[in-house]
Amino acid sequence: MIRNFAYPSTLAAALLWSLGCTTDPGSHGDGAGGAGAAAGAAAFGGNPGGVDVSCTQGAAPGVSPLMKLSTKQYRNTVRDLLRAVSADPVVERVESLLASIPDDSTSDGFTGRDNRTALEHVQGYFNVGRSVGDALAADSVLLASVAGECAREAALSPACVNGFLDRFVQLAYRRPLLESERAEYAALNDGSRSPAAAIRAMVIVALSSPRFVHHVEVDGAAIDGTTDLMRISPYETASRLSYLFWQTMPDEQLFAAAADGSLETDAGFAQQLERVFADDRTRETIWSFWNEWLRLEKFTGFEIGRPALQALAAGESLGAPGHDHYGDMVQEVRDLTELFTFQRVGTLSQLLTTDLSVTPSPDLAKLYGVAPWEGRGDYPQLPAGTRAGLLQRAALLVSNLEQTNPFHRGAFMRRYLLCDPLPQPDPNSLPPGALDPPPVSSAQTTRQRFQAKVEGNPLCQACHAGFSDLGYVLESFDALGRYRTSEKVYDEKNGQYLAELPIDTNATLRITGEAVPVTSAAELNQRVVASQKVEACMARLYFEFANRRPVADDSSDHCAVQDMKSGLNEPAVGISGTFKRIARYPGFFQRKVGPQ
Amino acid sequence: MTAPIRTLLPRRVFLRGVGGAALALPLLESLLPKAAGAQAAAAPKRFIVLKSFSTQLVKQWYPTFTGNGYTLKDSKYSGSKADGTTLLSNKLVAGAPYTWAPLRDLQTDQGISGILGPKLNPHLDKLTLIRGLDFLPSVNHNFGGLLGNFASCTKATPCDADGLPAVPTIDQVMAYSSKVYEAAPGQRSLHISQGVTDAMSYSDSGQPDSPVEQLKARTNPRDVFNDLFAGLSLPAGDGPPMADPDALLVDKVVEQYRALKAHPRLSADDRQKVEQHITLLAEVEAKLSTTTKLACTKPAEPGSLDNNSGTDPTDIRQKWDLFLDLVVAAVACDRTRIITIGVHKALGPGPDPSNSALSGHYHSEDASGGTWHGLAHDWGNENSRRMLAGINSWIAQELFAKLVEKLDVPESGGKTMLDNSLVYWGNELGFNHIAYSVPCLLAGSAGGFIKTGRYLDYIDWDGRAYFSQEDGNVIKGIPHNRFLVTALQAMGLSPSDYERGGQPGYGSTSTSGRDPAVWPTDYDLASIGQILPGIQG
Repeated sequence: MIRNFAYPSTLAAALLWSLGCTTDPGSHGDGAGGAGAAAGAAAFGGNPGGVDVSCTQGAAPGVSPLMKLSTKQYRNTVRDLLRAVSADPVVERVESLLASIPDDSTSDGFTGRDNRTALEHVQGYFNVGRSVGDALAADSVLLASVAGECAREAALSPACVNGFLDRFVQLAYRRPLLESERAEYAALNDGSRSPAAAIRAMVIVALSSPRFVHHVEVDGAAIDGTTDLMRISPYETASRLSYLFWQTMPDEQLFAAAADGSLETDAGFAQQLERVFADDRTRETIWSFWNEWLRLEKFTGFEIGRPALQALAAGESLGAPGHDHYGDMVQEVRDLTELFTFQRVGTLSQLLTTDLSVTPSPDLAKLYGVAPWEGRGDYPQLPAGTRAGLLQRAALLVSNLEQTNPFHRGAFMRRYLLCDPLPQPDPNSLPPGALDPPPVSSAQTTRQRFQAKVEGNPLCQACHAGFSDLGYVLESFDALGRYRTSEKVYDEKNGQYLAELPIDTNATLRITGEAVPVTSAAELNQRVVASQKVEACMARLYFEFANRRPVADDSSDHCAVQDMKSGLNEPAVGISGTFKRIARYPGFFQRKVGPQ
Repeated sequence: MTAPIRTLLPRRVFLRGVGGAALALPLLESLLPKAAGAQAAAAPKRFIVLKSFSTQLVKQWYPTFTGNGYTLKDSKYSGSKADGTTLLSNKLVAGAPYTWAPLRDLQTDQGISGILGPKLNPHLDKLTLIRGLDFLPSVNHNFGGLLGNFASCTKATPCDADGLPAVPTIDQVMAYSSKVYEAAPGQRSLHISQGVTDAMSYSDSGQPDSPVEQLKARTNPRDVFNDLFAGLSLPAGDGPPMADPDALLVDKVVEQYRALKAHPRLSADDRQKVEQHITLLAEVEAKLSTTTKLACTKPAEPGSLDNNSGTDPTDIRQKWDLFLDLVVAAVACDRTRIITIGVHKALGPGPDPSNSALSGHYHSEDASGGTWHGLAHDWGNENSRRMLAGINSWIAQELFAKLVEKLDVPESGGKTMLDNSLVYWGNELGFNHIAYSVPCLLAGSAGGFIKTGRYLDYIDWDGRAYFSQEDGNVIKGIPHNRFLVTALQAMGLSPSDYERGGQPGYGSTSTSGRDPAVWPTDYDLASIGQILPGIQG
């Protein structure tokens, strides 16, 4: 119900246009499947986020811009470099400085795509370099460990400098040094500095060098005589592989494979890929993808101080010391995705339909009505007919307060799980009260209250017709993610019980454009899985996560995305095979330079 | 062979940083302040911005005082114009509808408005309350609008203004102006926040042809301390300040970046990134060159308090207390003159009206119910309005008033640090996500530039009321751009220092996306380059 609508009626068409749901798709889009694009409800059934754009085999990949190491990569690399040269004690010394490097933010989608460099980055790199240099210069044992016993002599010999460069700076550069680069560093050993001071100076310069803090990929061979497309060098390949899956520098074996040329052979690369993928660090990276994609860190916590939430959660230990319901929910998502990625060859379809409960948390198990998993043996099964697959786990359903918000749930599914462009409402173009949640009523369910707010109003329905029904079906779950068949209503001020109302989960969905009636959350999930739009969405987003750039039009990027999409449900490939495929398409070995 | 950094740095940055006359000097020497901690001449001016988020309860922001001859607008107007706020009758300037009143006239024991509470009362003579500043571009939730970059809507809430050219926010124009820094500063600007690491500021690093990028905010008090004070020592002896020899190592790094920039396998965009990095390295070197002696009381180093998205009241209050102390120390020690504070977190009432304990609130893009952002979407709910007013009242009392009090201590020239500053509390939006009459409260006079102690109302109340929503009116006020010009000139800049592309004033005046049948769009652009009328008395 629209209240106090005071706009001149002649503006209805303009407002519809400005809402963005009936106009040109992508007019504001950022190509990330995020909130930026505008598209109409009719467009929901079409090309989901650009995944099915025809692929151009043999085309160049999209442009790879010069990227800084992500802050996560930078911190990992500093630590691993120090450990690689047996300077482990210095790691702890620089931790606080590493923490002062600004975190990347999700303003461009995945944090890895945040390529902004602020003074705090550059100053931070320099401070870390100074701290490392100071630590080495002040401890002759450490100095000798990093630069050799020769660094303790009265003067630093050229051979000693070269030994240090081969041991430390080469690792920092992630490739052997050129002679000209050696000369630059050797110039710091000009006799004005003690050996320790000279080594310190070299450390400081190396740790602020573009070769250290950026992904500099200029060493490859030009492809077909072009000036803007090259096959990256073996060392660059080693770095791509390690940063892709480990978020850190290559290890000794990767460097060795780059040095002996085996990384350039199919067999040698495959061997390294399998080795890298099997490492625990890959799990961390893959989890980062799920975590950021599903926006699990966006939840700002239960408003446990609300009397009505306390009433809803009676008997659940929500907010009690030692109980972290949301933490358990997030961990469940991680456990479940890892089960189907690393512990068994699972397809995305299997993950999206599994009824296994993997949580060992008594709190979460209680919400689901199952026994906690005991850490071994078979996993319990969720009660039949309650919820299905990954997408109906509590972490993806919870609300801050006692009420659900079907609009938020539906929009989340449309925008982030199906990658359908869906604009945010523009308050400048909305009638008064449009964004007010409908007040709690003991006579109406949440669905009825929300439905009454938008139905019958073409201005609202232009967008809402495409996603609200998804949220209505998810009313099977309360604000804590518990399955329910009726809704309890409480007074938000004092938590007083007001009513219990039966919920209605019948809706007409338009997941692929076609109107399809469903009656339950389980049926909703079947339709979502059958649409294969989650596969398309995931493939494209993983490409962007892994490559730290958007999928480019008129490039081979779309081929990689399509290949990954199909792989997700191929039993022989599955989720883990798809994650690896990102490193097998031709563009992985190429760098396209942007316009000069 | 390492070239001196002065030959490697972008000429414009150098000129802006130290003035053309310094070019003949060796770089390090030229970048040093005249004397450590010297404020012998006029005390410097500072620009300190405090930004609150989401929509505002405009009627709670502005006075509703009656008595002493003051009546409410209801006594003169009807309909939405009868909004229950105080009617001002003093004409601010001849020939314009703008009005004003002394803030002291409107003072009550509860402050001057529902949000601007009693802790501001001692400072009313140094405050300026402004109503009627309108963002001309059509925005939604945004980062840099209040400082002039309207093309900065959040990714979650794109807007028409996103299509406008990005320009640096005015704090960054100031930060790279030799009118603000006659010599390279300890730090050009400081950006603080809780919860959100994206700052409200956008910068081209002082290079007008460079990309404009959003800056990062510090969220850990210890990082702020380190940025401002790490490695600094108190004065000792009479010897001249010594440059840090490590500054020479920056030259080596710059040389590497210059070589990379020349590499044929970089794109034009890549080269711009490299150039930007070089500029930032110059800043690093400048800081090394000035880290010698500190003629002020160095604050205690705070413990490390990690960023988070939680709402623990103790954590929020503890960080704000530390941040405010560091801000004041930064001003007192002249470590920086440009500071922005993003108030993404604050305390305020909880949902139970009978419980007086304050809760923590976090404004993020998450507009779920119960969150600060969610409350701002819940205008129809009286309880949500109560909580929203309480949050902003806490900001007024516990952040703005405290900051003002801490700054109001004497420094050279018989004025206080506050007198020499322009402290600006602005907001992301106006009422109900609409950027008309965006709230503005100033403290200090920027060294006498602004005549303080007044409430200035720039709304043309006799003009057309386009429509009203919930807590506010859409009636034409004055372009916010003129506040930007006021702030820039208050800090000593001239139009030639900030105007771009031959356009007068600052910030976009585009009303693209706004239908003139619905929104005021016919602003007086002929005067867009002038300061706010009557602001100097």
